[in-house]
Amino acid sequence: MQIPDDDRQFEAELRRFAPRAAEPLPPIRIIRVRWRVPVAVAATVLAAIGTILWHMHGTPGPGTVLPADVSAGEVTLGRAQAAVAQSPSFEAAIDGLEQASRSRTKPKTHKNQSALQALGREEL
Amino acid sequence: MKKRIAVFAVVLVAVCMPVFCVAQHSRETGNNAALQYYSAFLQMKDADLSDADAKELGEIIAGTRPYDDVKFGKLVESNAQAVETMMVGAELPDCDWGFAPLAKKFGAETPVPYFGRSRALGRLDILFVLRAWSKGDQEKAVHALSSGMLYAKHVASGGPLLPVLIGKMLLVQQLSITNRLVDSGKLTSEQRETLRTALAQLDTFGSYWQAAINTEMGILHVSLDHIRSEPDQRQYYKSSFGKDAPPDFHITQQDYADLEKVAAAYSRTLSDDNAAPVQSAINASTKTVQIMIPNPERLVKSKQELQKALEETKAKIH
Repeated sequence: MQIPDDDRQFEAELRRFAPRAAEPLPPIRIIRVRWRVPVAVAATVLAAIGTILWHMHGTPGPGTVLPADVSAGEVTLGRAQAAVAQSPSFEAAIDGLEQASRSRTKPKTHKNQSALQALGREEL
Repeated sequence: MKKRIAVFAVVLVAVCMPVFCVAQHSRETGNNAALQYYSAFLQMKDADLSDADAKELGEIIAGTRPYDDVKFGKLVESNAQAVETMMVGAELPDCDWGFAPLAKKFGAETPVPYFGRSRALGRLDILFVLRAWSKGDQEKAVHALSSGMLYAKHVASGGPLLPVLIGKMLLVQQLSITNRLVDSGKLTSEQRETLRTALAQLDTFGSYWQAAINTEMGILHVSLDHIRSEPDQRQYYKSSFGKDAPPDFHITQQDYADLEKVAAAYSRTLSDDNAAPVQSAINASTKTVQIMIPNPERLVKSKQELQKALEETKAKIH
């Protein structure tokens, strides 16, 4: 089997190849930051406060869309009848029932309330 | 041979009859609008609102403030599927909430979760209408509004008084929005016709007041039976009705007799809108009956308010 001329030339070129010595890497500049410890402390404190608030309220931020609470309707016929018969107005009867079902489900947070519960009331 | 064929035909009919009956029953069940509404309730998605936003939402629905899509667009968008499911139900002629068999068995302790949900869904539909209108989609707004009115009528059907009141309150708000859309002068003749058709279907709402009172009285009768059979009647009343019973609370035969008299008087009151006879019957009845009966004057006022709103809108759209 004959070796092509191109291959011989390529081998000759390879033999002439001599690797150059690599230049040394630039030195790493170590920056000493004095505020690193306070930032870490602040982050820990913020994380702790966030965790406490999350557990206290148990709800995401305003405007977040949540699935409807399907259990929010523990109104019985008797309670509905008593509300209609004994409330000062029919509107108050409906609102009273809405409030009763709300107290069994999700407590209102300090600043926010459920949109569906608000829509279920006569006096929004 | 003919005799054998005749016998075979009779056997075939006897075998197939139950199948036809089941098929008929399932078709009727599938046409029940309440199934679509229950499905819509499950599709509803909640959102957190600030007190100020909730107040603004009330003002928008009452028509004293324009709809704000920046604030409430996300809420309406996320509930679009629930509203559209409701609209499918509203196209069906019949609505049975499945309330009667439960009430017969459980009386005052019958759970009625749809009462509160139905009002919230009706209000979401109103927001859906206002959003579509604000975006210039008149066709969508009119369709959702007319469906919402039929839905409000369905909410009121077949139950006691509270859902009738919820249906009435929704309708009064929907009629007010209908007036605003008509006043805008932008509705096409087809859109006006869509609204007219929906309004015409509300004519039968008037009969729901009497039906609701009949249901109410029937449930109260069952409740008296339940309370009477309990060893601690006061405790049972409190757990079933959520209110404290009067100190000398005890069911007697007189309660049944008085309840009958009040029920009869209520029928007359709703036919001539005169609350005086039923109020007299309530005043003459036992304390137990008195705390169970809805105020007739308020009821007549509610009925008349809806009737007036309906007549005004009809006059405007014709």
